[in-house]
This record gives sequence, C-alpha cells and structure tokens, in this order.
Amino acid sequence: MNRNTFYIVCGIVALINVLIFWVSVIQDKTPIFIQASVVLSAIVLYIIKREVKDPHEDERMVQINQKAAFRTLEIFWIVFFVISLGSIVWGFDRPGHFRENPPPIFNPTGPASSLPAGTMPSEGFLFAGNVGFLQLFLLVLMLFLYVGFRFYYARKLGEWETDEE
Amino acid sequence: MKNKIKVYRAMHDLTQEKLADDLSVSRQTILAIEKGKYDPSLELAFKIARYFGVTIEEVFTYLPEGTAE
Repeated sequence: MNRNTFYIVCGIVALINVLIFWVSVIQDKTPIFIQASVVLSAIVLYIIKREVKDPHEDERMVQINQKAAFRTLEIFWIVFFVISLGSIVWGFDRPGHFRENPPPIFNPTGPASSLPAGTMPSEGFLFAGNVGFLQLFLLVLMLFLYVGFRFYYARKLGEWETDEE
Repeated sequence: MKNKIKVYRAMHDLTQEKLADDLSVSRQTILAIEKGKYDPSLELAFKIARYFGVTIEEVFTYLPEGTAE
C-alpha cells in the first residue's frame, strides 16, 4: 500500500468516527460507542500503517519528525501546566476545599440548603463536559504546534531546496 | 560538515535520483546533504563513501562550528 492510499483510508475512518460521534450526541447519549470506535480505529490504522511502503521516509524525515515532536512537547507541557494550574485554583475555590462553606440559606417552605446554586461541582466549570472541550482545545493546539514545527524543521533540513539538476 | 558528494557524483556520472535510489533515501536527502543543510548519520556517511569506493574522510570533512573554510 502506498502512502496516498493510507491517507484516503485515514479520511474514511475519520468520517465514520464523526458519524458515530454525531449519533452518540444526538441519539444514544452514551459515550461508549464513540470511545470504542476511536480506540478500534487507532488499532486498525496502526496495523494498516505497517503495510505502507514509503520510499521517501528515510533518516532525515525521521529526524524532522523527532525534532518537531520534541519541540511540540517542550512548548505543550508549559501550556498544559498553566491551564491545569488555573483549573486547580478554580477547583480549590469551592466549599470543602479552601473556601469556607457559605451559611445555610433560610428556606421557610423546606429544608435549609447550604450550597447556593452555581457552587456544586456538576454546575460549575469543572463539569465533565466542559473539561472535554478544554482537552480538545489543548489537543488541537498540540496539533497546530506540531504542524508548525514540522514545517520549520523540514525547511531547515532542506525539504524544499531546489537544485540546478 | 563539508562534503564532496557532488564531485563524486559528477565523476561517476550519477544523478541525485539514482544515488538516492541506490542508497534507499530520498532525492531531497541527497540534495540536503550536498547543500550542507543536513548531516547524515554515520551509517549513511559510510554507505555513501563505500558506494564511491573511497574512505569516509575523502567524502566528508568535519569543520567545527564557527570554523572558516
């Protein structure tokens, strides 16, 4: 299999996953199918990739990929650490951590409530769905960083050099 | 690192494409080595030297950074 066919297969697999994701959100309301589908896709693509015979992948390409991945990781961990730190500050600023419990709210018709609306973990920023959006944003950022560094090192190591030959 | 691959290619009347195919690398890699943009691994350097039937020192010359030619 050549590399272009592999990319076409990747595109088809990605489309199938988008479809399953859409069905999961709209109909099933359960994440298990899309999660299983992504893991299965990764395994299938890994197996197919081993069959790809690419005459252009040599030590220089490997070095470009390695350098780009290393630089991406170097930048990404700082961004990830900063965002995680911010989330922890928000996470601790809650009753039960470093903020004192608010006084009970008097409710003449029912039992007293100790937590005003908006302070429960499930209602705040740390709600699981929001964390997912944040993580996806970080993954996309990582992808952009990698592509940027990949271009940089490819240019530095003579990818688009022209010759008189 | 300086190299004389282009000279040896001319002596053997070889194109970059042919040399790249014989060494199982891409033409861009040969071009990048010739232009000094990429320093090959020791293995590839030996392969290139052996391909032309010379020693590695005859093809490659090590120049420490900042050294004038």
